[in-house]
Amino acid sequence: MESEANRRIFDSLETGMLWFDAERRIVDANRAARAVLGIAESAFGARIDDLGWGQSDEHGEALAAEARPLWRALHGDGETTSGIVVVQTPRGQRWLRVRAVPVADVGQGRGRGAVVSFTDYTHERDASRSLQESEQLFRMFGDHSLDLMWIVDPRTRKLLYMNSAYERIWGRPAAPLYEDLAHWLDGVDPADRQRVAEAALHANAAGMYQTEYRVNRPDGRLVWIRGRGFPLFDANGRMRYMAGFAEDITLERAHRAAQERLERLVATAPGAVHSYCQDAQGRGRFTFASPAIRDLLGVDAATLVERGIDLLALVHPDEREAVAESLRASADLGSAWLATFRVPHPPARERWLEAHSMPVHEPDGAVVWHGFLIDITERRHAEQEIRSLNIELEQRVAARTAELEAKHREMESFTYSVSHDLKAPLRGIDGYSRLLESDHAHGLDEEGRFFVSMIRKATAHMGDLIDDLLAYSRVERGRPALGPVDPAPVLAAVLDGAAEDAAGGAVALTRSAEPGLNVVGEREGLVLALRNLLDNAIKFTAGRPRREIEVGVRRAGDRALFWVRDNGPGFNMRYHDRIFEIFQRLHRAEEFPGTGVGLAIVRKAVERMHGRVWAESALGQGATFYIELPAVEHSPNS
Amino acid sequence: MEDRRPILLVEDNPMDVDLTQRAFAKRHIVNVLEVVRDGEEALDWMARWESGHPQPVVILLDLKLPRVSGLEVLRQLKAHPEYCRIPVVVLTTSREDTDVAAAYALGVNSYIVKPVEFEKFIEVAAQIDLYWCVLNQQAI
Repeated sequence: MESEANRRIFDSLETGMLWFDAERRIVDANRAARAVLGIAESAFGARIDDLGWGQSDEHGEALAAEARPLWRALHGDGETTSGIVVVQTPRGQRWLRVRAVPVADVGQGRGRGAVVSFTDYTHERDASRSLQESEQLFRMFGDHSLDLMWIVDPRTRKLLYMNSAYERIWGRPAAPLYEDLAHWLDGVDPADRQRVAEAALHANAAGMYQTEYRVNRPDGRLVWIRGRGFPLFDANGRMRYMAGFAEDITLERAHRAAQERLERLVATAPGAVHSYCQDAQGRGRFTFASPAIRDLLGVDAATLVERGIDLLALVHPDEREAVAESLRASADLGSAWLATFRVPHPPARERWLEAHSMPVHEPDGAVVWHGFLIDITERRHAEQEIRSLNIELEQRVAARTAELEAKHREMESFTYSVSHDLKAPLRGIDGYSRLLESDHAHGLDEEGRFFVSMIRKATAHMGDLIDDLLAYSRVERGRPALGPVDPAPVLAAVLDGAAEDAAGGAVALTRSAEPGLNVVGEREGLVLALRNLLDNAIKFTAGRPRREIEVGVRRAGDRALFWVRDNGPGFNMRYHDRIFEIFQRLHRAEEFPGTGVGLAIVRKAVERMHGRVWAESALGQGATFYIELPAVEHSPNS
Repeated sequence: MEDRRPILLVEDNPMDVDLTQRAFAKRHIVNVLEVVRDGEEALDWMARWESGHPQPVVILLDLKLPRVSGLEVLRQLKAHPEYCRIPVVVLTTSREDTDVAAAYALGVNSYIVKPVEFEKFIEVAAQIDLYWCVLNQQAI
């Protein structure tokens, strides 16, 4: 660049230019080269190698001298060489695209050399690098997102970007989508495919869309997706991209379903579900209530919660303190709160409510009861009705019992006066017939005296009948005091009564009592029954050459069995039931005396003790009479 | 030592009165048998004793009487400061436990059930005489 014109042209170029001689000494440099590399004119004539500038390739490897474009141009076959050289200059690192051209004369009398031209792309490179970094950041960001992110070019219908969430949520490789976007419907449940495709299509017109659909993963799992898509516009307001997100809402939907199920349950549950909170100072308010609470408290759920109404304020004033106390006890013990109380309820006067809930202690000292209230008004009314019916029934039973007792007393006094009144004339008949017999015997012949004796015999029999009838009616009197009775002393007492007959040697009496056996009964009743049976046996063995009677008691399962066995004439079992009826006799008076009351007394006495009496016999075989009573275990204490 | 004051019989049945008199006669009992026919009349007797009529050695009292019952007569006699000392023997057809218990609760001295048989009645009369008129030392 000898001429002034050439210099001006070279200095106006943005390309840096350097002229070197064959020894790689700087001959000249244009303005751009000086500015980029920071070379002063004082450096002209210095060898480039001596400037101490590190030179490396674009990968940061040090560049050997022989590899440098300048060296190759000077030592080559005259061709232009090029390459990228990263130079460490006093102004910092510069990224240069370098071309070197060998020339026969570099001018200024230096002879052969080379002209090196370069463009500094350090700025472009930095810009591109920061773009790359931001793209990388975006990808990293995207890959850390749990939600699927995608960008599509709507004109070419090509997928531009999609994060790794696709592979995670769909369980499918993303590569086929980059080939053909239509593959994105592959995982979508067939039932949802058309709906989802249409939603995406309409997004173009409507701008944005949102839809929920199912995705079937290859591993068989079903995933619920909420997809959103939206257009992205360029600076001129034209749509450039479609982008969107897709999130896995399987859990959310499960929660939602559970929530809905819970709400349905709450809505259909009897009574109202609630959360009732008392703060540390004891101030109460509802924090939640199901709609049904309106029927119970007369206040709708929203009002109840918004106004922070206290349950205690709604409880009937008479029961407020008791309810507050039951809440305190539940909070203190951490036990369930169960309470029954009235709530004034203007349209229906008042309702009876029953509360069931569990307290939960909050960190701030508050206690929250989660539970439910139910309306038991109807139940209370029914219970009250049952109670009043019971009272009425008891009154009626009492009245009827009193009536029966009055009848019974009437009957007793009737029997009493009958026996009294019957006996008085009897005494007259007997007395005067006796006086006739003793004082006027001389006025009577043999037959007359026989008649008088018959009158007296009949009178005596009538007296016996009346006495027995009285004894029979006496058995009925009062309620038996049933309790455990030791049968052994009873048997002893009964046999002692008959000892006179036995002592005379007339009757062989044997006794057997199983030890450790107690019966439920009444001592007097038992004695009466056994004595009558024994009297009966003594009576009916009269006239036998050897009179044998056995009395005993033994256990029979959970019962005790008494028996009185004789070797008398016995009876035909055909008449079994008749012998226990009053005034029924199987024998003529001249065979065996009696009134026919004894066995009826036995039956009555045994039945009063809830026992059973029966007999076993055959004509000429003797008879055995049994009394069965409940047994109790013999305890040493009793 | 025989006490020959009268015996007071409170009995409404005329036949029983007659038989009692005959039974006493059979045993040769000499005490006068004074007879009243109902409870009210028996209580009136107290006024007689006030005016000097001799008190009986024993009162034979039936329970079933017209107007005032035998138990009421017994109650009033035994509530009296002086006449409570007169021995009272209930002589009745009733062998009811309640009657026996009530009579003893009111302080009766003896309770005898009238036998139907006349012979036994004669024995009863004899025993009454022997015990109350002969053996018993009265508190007077």
